[in-house]
Amino acid sequence: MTDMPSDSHPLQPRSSGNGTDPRKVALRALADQSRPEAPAGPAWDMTDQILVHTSWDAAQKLLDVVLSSNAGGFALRGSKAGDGVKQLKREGFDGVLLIDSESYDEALATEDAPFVLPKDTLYEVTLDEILDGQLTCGATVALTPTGYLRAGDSEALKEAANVVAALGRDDVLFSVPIDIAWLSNDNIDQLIAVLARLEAPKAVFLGGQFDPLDRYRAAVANMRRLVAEAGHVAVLRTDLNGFDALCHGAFATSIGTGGSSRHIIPFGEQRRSSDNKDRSPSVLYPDLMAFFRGSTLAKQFANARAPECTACGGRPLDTFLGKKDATAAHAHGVHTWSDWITGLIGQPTLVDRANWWRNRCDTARAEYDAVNDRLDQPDGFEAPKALRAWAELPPWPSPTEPAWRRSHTR
Amino acid sequence: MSEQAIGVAQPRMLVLARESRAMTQGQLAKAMQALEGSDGKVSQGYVSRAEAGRLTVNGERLELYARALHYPPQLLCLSEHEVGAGPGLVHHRKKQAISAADLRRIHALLNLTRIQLRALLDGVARPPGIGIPHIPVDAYDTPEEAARRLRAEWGIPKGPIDSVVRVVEDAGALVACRELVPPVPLDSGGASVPVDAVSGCPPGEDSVVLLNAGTPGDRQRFTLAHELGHMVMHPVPHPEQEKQANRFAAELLMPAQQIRDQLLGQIDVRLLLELKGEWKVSMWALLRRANTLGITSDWQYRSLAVEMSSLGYRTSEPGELEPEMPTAVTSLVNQLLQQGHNVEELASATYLHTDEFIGLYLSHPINPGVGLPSRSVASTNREAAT
Repeated sequence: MTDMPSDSHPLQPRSSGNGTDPRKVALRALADQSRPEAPAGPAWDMTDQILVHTSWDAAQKLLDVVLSSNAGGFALRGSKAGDGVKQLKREGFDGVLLIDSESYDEALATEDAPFVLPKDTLYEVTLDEILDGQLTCGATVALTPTGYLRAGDSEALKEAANVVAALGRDDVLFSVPIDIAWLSNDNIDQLIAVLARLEAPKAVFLGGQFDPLDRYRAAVANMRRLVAEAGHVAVLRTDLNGFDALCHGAFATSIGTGGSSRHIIPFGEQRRSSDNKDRSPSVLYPDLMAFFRGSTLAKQFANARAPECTACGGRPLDTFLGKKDATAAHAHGVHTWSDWITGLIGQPTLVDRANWWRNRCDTARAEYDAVNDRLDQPDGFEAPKALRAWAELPPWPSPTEPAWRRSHTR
Repeated sequence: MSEQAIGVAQPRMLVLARESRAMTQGQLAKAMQALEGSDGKVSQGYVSRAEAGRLTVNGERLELYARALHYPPQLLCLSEHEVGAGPGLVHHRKKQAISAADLRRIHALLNLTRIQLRALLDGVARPPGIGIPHIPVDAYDTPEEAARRLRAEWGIPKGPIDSVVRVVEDAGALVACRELVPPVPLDSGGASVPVDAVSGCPPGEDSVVLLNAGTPGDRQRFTLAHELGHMVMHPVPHPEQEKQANRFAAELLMPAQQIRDQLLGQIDVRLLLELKGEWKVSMWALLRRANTLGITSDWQYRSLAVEMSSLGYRTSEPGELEPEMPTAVTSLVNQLLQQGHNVEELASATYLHTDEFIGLYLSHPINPGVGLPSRSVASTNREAAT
């Protein structure tokens, strides 16, 4: 196995102390950059792009929306992803295309088998061949079929990173499907240390029921550390967290269309839902900067006029009530967040982005009280913990550490 | 006893002996004054000067000094060469803040115990332990990985560790129980033990762990695993060493690969109590483990922690576990007795009065028929050397 370079990224956790600490210097330098550090190779095309993460079936219905938006392309998931990418390329789609094989749903990553490779085949299929297959379909870069990484399974994580380093390819995106507990204070340092040693770009997926970021108080702050310090990190299959990541050093992100495309489920667990019978899609409420079930919006606005989405031709937000409204809800979501991209990209530096994002989140958080007052329901809508963290944490991490690591961790 | 037979007190030993008795210089001076009677003129200044080496303590004054401290005078005269380099890097696992005086006393106890054990070890051929490896840790290589590696290298079977004391002793470390700090009474009526253990790794000697008497069994096991973590990972101090030692202990006692499945599902007090009996760790340690492994969210952790606190489990958990008893030191003493040494000789060799030696080293039943013939430790040493 080839040794990975031990000093590939200056933000890798090392000594702290004096003002010449390379980590501090690098964090300051990152703040002044106009955009995130771009990875080498074809992944360079993904820099500062927000992709739509969805299935091929859903993507076909959203194609026009995506083409007319600021979204950077598709991350297609599931068994038809390869066919979808092929077809899009045939039709001349020139945006970014990724194939998310969802291998994290198939197996745990272990030290012996960090990647999920086909077993019941006549001939052994290698990791290289799997990756080549994605590129042949037309993917911009190939995502590794990494198994699910449970918290603390560090030998599996290290082995996966070692194998990717040994591949020596620049057309590979190392898929890192982690349990959200990797973002706890106990585990984050090692996650950063392992990923920072790897020069190849990485794509982090967050695993957990409901909103994974809600599970740990330190998760948002540590997510920011991860994208700033681990070098060339994208955050895929997420929600508005993708914006937060792009403001703090991530080079790309993908936002899921439906709830199931905005996070992954820990291996071996069934997806949990607050109401299994509710078929209404999740709808992005722009002013509250959060996704709510269509049925929830209808209930809350039963006696009041619901806000209308200007991007969707004035459709009221309380009208997404059944499965048939899913595509419209997805389109509304993409329209809405892609409109925000101009504001994000338009900031002169990353620290300006971070301030811009914090202000947006702060305004949204305040809007919860205003909406609840209008509805005369003090507990009508509750701001997600992640949104509160985006609004309350210092917009740019202090390299001298305290507020950065302590906020929301006690 | 003549002056020549005993010698002159060494300032370092005067300090060590006084601190081990938790006495201030003033208290020691008063004790000496009381023993000397109405004619006595021992001041705190005298003790201070003696400890600073600015006056010589020998003869009757040395006897008086020793009586006030309840040690044989020989202890106070031990030279640097006889004492060795000291306990090396000292680690202590504490639950709450303790005073600087208590800390000095604990360190003094550790050093004196080390001196006593050195003397006892001189008399026997002890089989070498399997040795404690040094496994460096940092952000990339974690304490959990060090614990997994140790389990593998030492061939510790999967599942709960039957006896942590045995694991530590098999590695060559010596474990003893001492009253390091008395329990602190709580408003709830219970008591809390402020310090669980202290350990030292003297250069060139076996590591020594002192467990505080009265520490509950579950906490004692975690403490020993924590101290083992220090021995494995921390030959030099590290700013995160206490956290690292806790992480090491958690993985050593509750390996993620083996306990995760048992923690999945609905975690409640009942399950934690059940697992406590199986894994012999506290319910708090199990709850914390579930959180670290991503099984409970911070909010679930907090909710259960509040429930456990309201049940009084912070100070006293149900399912009490028997503390493990160290055996290596007891075996050592028994071996010496079987070789024909008597208790008085062993007490003398360890620079203790007989009553204190019995209290510290013979609280377990002695094998019948041993300790009768008189034979000096020194002669055994000579025989072993030839």
